[in-house]
Amino acid sequence: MKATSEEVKTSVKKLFEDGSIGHFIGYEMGSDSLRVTPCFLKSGQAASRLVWNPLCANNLSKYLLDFGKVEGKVGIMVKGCDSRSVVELLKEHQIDRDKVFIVGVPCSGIVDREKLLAVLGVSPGEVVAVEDDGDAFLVTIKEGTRRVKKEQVLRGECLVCRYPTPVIYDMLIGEAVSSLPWVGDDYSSVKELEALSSEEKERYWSSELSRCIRCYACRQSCPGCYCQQCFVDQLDPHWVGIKIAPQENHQWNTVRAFHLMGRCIECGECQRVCPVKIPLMLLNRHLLREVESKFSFQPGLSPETPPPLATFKPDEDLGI
Amino acid sequence: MKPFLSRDNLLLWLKRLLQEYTVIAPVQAWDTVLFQPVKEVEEILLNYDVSALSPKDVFFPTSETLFTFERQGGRWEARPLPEIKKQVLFGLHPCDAHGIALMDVPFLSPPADLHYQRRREATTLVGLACSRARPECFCESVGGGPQDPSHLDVLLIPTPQGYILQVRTARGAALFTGFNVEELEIDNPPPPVTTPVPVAGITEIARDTFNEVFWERLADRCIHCNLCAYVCPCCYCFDIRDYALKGRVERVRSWESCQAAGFTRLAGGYDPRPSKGARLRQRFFHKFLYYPTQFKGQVKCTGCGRCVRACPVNIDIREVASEMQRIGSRVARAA
Repeated sequence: MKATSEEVKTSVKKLFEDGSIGHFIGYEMGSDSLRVTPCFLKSGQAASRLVWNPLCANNLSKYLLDFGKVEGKVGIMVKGCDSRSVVELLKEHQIDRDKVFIVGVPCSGIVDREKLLAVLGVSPGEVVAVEDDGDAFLVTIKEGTRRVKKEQVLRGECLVCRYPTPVIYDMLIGEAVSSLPWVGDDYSSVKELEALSSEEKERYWSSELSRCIRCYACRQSCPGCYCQQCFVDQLDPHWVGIKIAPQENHQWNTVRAFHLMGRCIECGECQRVCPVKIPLMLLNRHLLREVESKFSFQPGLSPETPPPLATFKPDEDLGI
Repeated sequence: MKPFLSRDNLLLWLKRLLQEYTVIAPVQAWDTVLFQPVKEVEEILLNYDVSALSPKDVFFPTSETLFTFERQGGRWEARPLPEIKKQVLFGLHPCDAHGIALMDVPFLSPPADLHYQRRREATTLVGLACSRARPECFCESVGGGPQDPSHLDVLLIPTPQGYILQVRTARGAALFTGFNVEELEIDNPPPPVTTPVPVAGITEIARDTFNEVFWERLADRCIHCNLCAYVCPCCYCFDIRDYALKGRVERVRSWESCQAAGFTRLAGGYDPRPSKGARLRQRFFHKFLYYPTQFKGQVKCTGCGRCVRACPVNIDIREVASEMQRIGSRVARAA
């Protein structure tokens, strides 16, 4: 059975009551029926605010970094992708396993709000609720309920998701989902890009990155971007100028992608928040594929496996 | 009788405009709507909801060179500023024109910002009234309206038959010189209705909320991604740096945001706004208290709803305004 908001509320309330956790990071409904917002609880009574539904897009794991000094364990709700960023944070010694209580929820895909509105042809105010229903979403609108095929309205990352069930957890709510029926050759779009000539690739990325306004929302939403000082903000040495222009935009986006090589766990937050819709995940997944083929490694699966790009083996033959 | 352009005449007029002016208009760019210079009339979107970014960058570009010095024959010489061609900003909604009017006050009050002023003077604003309101729209609560012509040179009001034409200024009229505009007996279509947001009186109570824990709690979920400021049609914070190359120095101004950690960090390391809560409060205080107080005017918000749509963690200015009013009246009662 799929996890429901009710189960989440009950389970989290119990965790507070039996002293397993002192804090909880989850989702609650936001300012309209198509928005959820992260929420932070300090007691079991507040657990009634929690929700779990196909709108819970945010990867909450980065908030764990704000809870380093609190008393007691911090509970957190994670989907498959989010759990992999918790693994990365553990591996990179940013959080302490003894301090977190991971509540996993198997996820069968998150709705892309804009896609949903376009498919339904309604305005956001008309949607009352969205529920998961197997290969479709049940969308309650004012006139009744509509069933929308998931493939039409899922977020891009959910269309290629290989880990719908959390890979690490202390408690799992709902039944594990082993694979998602719509996920086939999940690197097809990356392969298409890789097949282009260097000039074509250059043209493609120059066009895509030309509209970057360097708001750094990609960095701020990324659970892997937690440097105390980002290279782009450094003044000495001064790596990247403040000019919002092709050269600087290239520098920013490519260096950030390289910093995430072998660490990006494909939650897609960067692309979700990008105000000008740059296909950042295409860049990230290209590098991910490189790491996968060279090192047979996927990030975010085990806290014990060292990151390949931070490991040196004298006898390693990469065939390059 | 009202001046009127049929759809065909509008396209004809735009075609003529394109020969003489740089026309910047909403276009479908990649997966989203952006204001960009157009080459063909067909690119222009005549029926769009809201663009991803406001057209404020027409006057306040994401990045611009303020001046360049070059060494020539042992002497440093200032390079002349690039010429700015006559341009038309077409198709902006009344809220975005309102945003430009709000930017005008700080940028054009003496001493005017030369760069902003040059672009502003070279540009004619042709607006497009809104036929529908998105649920995030609240222009009517902040002194605007879906058919408000106040800050425009020309306003076009779409109707099923074509466009009702309101020419407001001489600059606007100049665009129609030699163009035959018909007249038609027609009523303005009813404007869409926006959901009210309690902004009235907020300037008076804002200061009372300064020390409230509300700001830090609200900021718990803020990831200081800066999006609210970057998509805002009237946020104008910037950063300035020098690009020093061999024989050439360039001073560059780029967009920045008060939400970024370190935005107010001073030499020596002190930061008067060190927490997310302090920075988030600054955002709303600038909109609802500092700007109206400093410029004796209205709040610095156009109700376009872009920040509501963009915020990845759903910090919603409409809820913030309500909450400020609630806290403000509680503090007032206690006093």
